[in-house]
Amino acid sequence: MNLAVLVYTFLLRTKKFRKIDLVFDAMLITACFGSVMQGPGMVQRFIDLMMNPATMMIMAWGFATDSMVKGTEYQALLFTRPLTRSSYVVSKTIMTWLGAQLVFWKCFLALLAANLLLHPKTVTFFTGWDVLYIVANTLSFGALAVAVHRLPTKWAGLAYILLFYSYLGGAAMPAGVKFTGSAQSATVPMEMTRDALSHVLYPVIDLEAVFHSTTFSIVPILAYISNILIYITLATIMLNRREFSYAQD
Amino acid sequence: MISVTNLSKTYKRGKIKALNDVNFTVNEGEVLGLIGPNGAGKTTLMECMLGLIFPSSGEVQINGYNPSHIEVKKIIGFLPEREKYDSWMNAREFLGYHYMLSRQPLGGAKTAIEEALDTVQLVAEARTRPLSTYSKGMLQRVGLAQMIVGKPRLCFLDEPTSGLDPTSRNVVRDVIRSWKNEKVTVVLNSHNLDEVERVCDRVAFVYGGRIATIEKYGEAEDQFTVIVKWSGPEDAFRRLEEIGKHAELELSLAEGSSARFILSSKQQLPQLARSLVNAQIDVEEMFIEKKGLEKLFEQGWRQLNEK
Repeated sequence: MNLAVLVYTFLLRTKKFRKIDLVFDAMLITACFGSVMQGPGMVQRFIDLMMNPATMMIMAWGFATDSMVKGTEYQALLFTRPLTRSSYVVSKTIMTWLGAQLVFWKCFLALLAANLLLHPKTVTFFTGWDVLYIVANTLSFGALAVAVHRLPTKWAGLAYILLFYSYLGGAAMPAGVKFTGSAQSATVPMEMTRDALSHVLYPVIDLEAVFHSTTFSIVPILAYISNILIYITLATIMLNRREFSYAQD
Repeated sequence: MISVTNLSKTYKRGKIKALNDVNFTVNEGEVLGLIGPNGAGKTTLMECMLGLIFPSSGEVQINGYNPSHIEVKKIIGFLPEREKYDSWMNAREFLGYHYMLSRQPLGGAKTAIEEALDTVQLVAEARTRPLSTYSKGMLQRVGLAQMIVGKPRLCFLDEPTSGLDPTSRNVVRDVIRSWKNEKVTVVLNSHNLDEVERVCDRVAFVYGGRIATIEKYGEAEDQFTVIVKWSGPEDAFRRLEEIGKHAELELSLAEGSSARFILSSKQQLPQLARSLVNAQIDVEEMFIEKKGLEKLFEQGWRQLNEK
C-alpha cells in the first residue's frame, strides 16, 4: 500500500471535483428533503436506492480514476517513481472503498438533517446489518471500479456504462419479461445464469442472509472474497502489461 | 551505469521498427545527449531506459538491474516533454505528492519542496496557485522541481527547453550543470544543438531507430570556425585572403567587414591572431563559431547513407 497514492486519490476527488460535488450536494439535499416530506416509505426507498449496486458503482467511480489528465504522459511520470504497480492497485482499491463510504455517509447525514428539520422525532434509518452491507459491498465495488479503470482509457468508460446498465437491465428483467408457452421452460435456467453472472459481475454479499439463515454456508463469503482478489489481480496484470509511451501521442 | 544491448522495439507485429539493434553505455556522472530528427526513436529509446515500454528484443540494464526494478526507480528522475501535470494541484501539493512517491523522509518534505522551488526560481506568489494558471516556462520549472525533490542519481530529460524563454532555458541549464557537478548521470534528449553543446559530455546521433554515431563532445569539436570582424576599409579582405594562404587556413566566406576562417585545430588560433596583427587589420571582434554538433549531424547522415 502506498501512502502517496492514498493522499493523492483523496485530493483528486475532493479538490478536483469540488464544483461537481457542489451540484451533487444540492441535488442530494433536495432529494433528501423531498423523500422526508413524502413520509417513511419514501425514505426507505431512498435508502434502498443508495444501497443499490448501481448506485455504489457511481459512488466508487470518482475515486477509482487515475487522474483527469488525458494521454499517457502523466502516468509515465507516475510509474518512473518507486511505486510497484500492485501497491498502486491495492492503494487505489482501499481509497475507493473509503471514498465510496464517504459519499454514502454524506448522503445519510443529509437525510438525517432533513428528517430532524421536518420531523424532529427519533427515526431508525439503518439496522446494524445494513451498515455491514454498506461497508462490505463498497469494498467489492471499489475493487471492481479499480479493475475497470485499469483498462485502456477508451475502453474503461464504455465498460463502466455497460456494467451499470446491464445491472439495471438485469434487475428489471423478472418484472418486465413474462415467458409464455414453450419459452416458460427456459425461465429457470435463464434466472440461474443471470444469478451466476451477477455474482461475478456485481459482487454483492448480503451478510444478514448469510448469518440469519437456518443453515450457514461459507460459499457466499468465499465467492465474495475470491471476487475481490480476482479484481485486484486482474487490475495488477492489466497495469503490468500496459506500456506508457507518449512518443506516438 | 546504463548498459543498452541489442535493443530493438517494434510495433504492429514487427512492421514498424522504432528501435533497431541499439548498443551503447552511459557511465556514472556522465551527461549524454541524444540528438536526431523527429521520429528518429529518441523518445522510444528513453522510454525503454525508463522501463515504461518493454523491448521487443535486447535489454537495458541500470546498475545491473532491469529498468522496471524498484531499486532503479529509487534513483531516477524524469522530465517529460509535455507538461501534463494535474492542473488542479498547486506547485507545493504537486511536489509534495512526488516527494512522497519518491520515498523521501516525510519530516523533511516542507524544506525540500521550498528548496526545490527556490532552485528553479519559481516566484513565491505562484507557489499556491493551481498549475492550470501557469505558463509553459513555469510548468517546466515545476517539472524540474519534481525531479529535484526526488534527489535523483540518474536523470532523464526529454526536450527540457523546447519553447522556453531565455530565462527559463538558463534555469534548466543551471540545474543540469549542478547535477553534473554532483556527478549525477544525465540523459538529455533535445533538438536544441546549442543546449546539448553546452552541457553534454558525449552526444549520440539517433536516426531511423539506430545510433548512427556516438562521440565525446570534444571529438565532435575538432574542426571549428572563427569569425573575424574589423573596422575600416573593406579592402582588408584582400589582406585576409593572403593571410589565409600564408597560414594555410581556409577562408570560407566573407561579407561586408567580416570573414570566416575554418581551422582544423585550436593550435591554429594564436597563429591567426598574430597574422591579423602583423597585417595591421583593425580587428573589432574575433570569436569561435562552434560547429561541432552540426558536423556530427552530417557525419551521422553520411554513416547511415553508407549503411
